[in-house]
Amino acid sequence: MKGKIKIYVKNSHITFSFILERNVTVITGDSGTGKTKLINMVRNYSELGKSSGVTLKCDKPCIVLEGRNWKKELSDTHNSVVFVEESTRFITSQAFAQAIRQSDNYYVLITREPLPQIPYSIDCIKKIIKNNGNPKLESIYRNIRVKDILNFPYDIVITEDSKSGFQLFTRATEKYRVRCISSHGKSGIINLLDRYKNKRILVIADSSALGAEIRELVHFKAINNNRTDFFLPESFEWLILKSDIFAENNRIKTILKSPVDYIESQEFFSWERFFTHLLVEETRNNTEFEYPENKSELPVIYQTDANMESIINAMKK
Amino acid sequence: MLRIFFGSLDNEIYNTDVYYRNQYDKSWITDDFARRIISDIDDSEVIGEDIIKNDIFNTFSSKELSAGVKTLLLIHNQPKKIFNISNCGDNCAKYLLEMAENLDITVCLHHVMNFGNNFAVRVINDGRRKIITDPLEFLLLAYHYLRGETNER
Repeated sequence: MKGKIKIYVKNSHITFSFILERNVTVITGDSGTGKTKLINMVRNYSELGKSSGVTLKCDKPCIVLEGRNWKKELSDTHNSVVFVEESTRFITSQAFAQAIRQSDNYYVLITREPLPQIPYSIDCIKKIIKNNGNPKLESIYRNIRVKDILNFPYDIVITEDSKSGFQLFTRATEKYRVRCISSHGKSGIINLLDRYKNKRILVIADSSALGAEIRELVHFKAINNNRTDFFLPESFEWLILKSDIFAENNRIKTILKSPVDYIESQEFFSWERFFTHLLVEETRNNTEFEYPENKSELPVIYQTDANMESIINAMKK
Repeated sequence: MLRIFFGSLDNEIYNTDVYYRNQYDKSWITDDFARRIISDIDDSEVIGEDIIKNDIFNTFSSKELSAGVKTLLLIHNQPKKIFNISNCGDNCAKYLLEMAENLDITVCLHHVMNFGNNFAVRVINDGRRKIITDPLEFLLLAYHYLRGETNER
């Protein structure tokens, strides 16, 4: 499935209207905002249709996945929007993460628990804002990014990446005498933040798969006197694609305007993988710019001063 | 003291919503504590035994309260049971601490709850006994226990 999905759910008291912008949306936040109400209305409509008293408008079928037979039900569900309620045991399991990776559905997961087995975007972590009978869904982490890092006013730069992205940011920080270190994955970031908690730190990570970690990272920043900044492009490859290096490539420009319309969720569960695939495809057989699929070595051409600046500044576009 | 176990315990009541529906007593919502949390968290007023009112839904039963309020009511009325407080948002944290001021309450937590800057809880994983008052120490302990390989149920 691909593209944005509009959902409108209404009964005589309350109306939810929102758009799913990716294959996984997580709804979390304070108690008493209406998360359970939303699920109950979807469940009622899914079971009884219009006779439930709920109006549900969506181009795709909407179901609530629950109970012991969830695996069978999920394997029989296609091209649908699947809701999972808070307090559903399987939501944090490896089996669920595996099952949804191979499916062609979109998912709305209501939970406060981190889901490290599922690569989901920080932009699709939402909370419900009370608004009388018309509650709104709002992205929780939409304003946490810094976009201008060219002069690196930090003591330490932490990259989750240990390959091509790490190579570029190591080069870029050299002249500012800033130490660049890799956390070798998302889960290592918090320990490095703790180790260097008295320093000014920049964290560089892929926002498209940082969903399970972002609450702790933002919480750490608040506790530690805001000495941490976050530079969070969709992915390192997205940053390269968005840079002026590909300014004349109309296909890339068109896709980046609205990636959701091009990313088939069953093929690319995480957008990070799609952007890597796109960069590899677009540079194949180009001697200078050919980007390795395993990201092991960043070609030298990307590491010239002009291209590095262009890549780092792409976040500001 | 609030005694927190990060992760699952065998005797944990994980789905507090289902448990509430099968265990609640009509009178649970009429004491001062219940009225306060229902007003603050769910923007609703207790009218009488199992009758609650707000501007959106008019009158409704306590079974329709938020999962967070139901979990607080369960802890308040059955403090010896072990409930999953990941059904509670951060806006429930101060009430958890209040209930545990004069009583040991053991709970399971599956995410990092924000208790603010002034709190004291005991993390009981691995037989720990130390009282935690530092938000950073609490965060790192939570991360350590919740991201371990044993976390998956």
